[in-house]
Amino acid sequence: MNEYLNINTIRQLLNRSVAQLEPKTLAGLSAAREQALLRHAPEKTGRRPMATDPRRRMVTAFATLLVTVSLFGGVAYYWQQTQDNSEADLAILTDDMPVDVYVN
Amino acid sequence: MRPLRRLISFALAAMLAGTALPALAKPWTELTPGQQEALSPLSREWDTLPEKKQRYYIELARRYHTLTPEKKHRMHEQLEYWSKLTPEQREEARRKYRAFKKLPPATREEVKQMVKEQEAQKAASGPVAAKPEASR
Repeated sequence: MNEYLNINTIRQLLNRSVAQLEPKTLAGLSAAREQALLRHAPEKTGRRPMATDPRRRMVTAFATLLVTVSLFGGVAYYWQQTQDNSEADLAILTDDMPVDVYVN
Repeated sequence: MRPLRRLISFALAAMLAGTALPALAKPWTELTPGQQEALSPLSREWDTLPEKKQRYYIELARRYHTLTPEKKHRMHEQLEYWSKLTPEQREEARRKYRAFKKLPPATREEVKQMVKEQEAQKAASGPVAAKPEASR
């Protein structure tokens, strides 16, 4: 056996073998190929298989929602904290009591 | 999962941009006259302040215009001292202030009276004012 078979050699060998196959076997192989292509058709047309899988679609939607909510939650929390601090700071700064009373 | 990956990448990029990119500080001369009035005690040190601190003071300046003239004056009196406090000291001050606000009004008045008396005694004994130790 030749160790350095390249893809062209393999293709030629296969074609030669296929030429020797019976028409019935060839028809069976052709049908199997068609079915396999049909299974992969969405990927070839650019549509992802997950888009047709409702479960995966739900998981993706849920994960997206979770990420979005977490992001907005984080931003909202930070904003609220800043507002609260700013409000408290203004109250401290304008209070009758000197600031150092609250520091020391 | 491509949209999710894209969303996560976008979120991460946004967070990185928010934290890692050099923030742009605003020079004193670029503040509005209203902001300059509110933050006048900080005019000398303004240009040396980091952007985060500047944003904090700009938020204070926004609220300054809702104050009565007495409160504005009071804020000006205390702002410089406040600007020299460390973040920890400020957090401590907020915590104590919030706790103080929860006291019954009568108790608060008593404390205020006590503080006033102490301040008067301090003023009479000499111009020694407690200053914060460090500025961060």
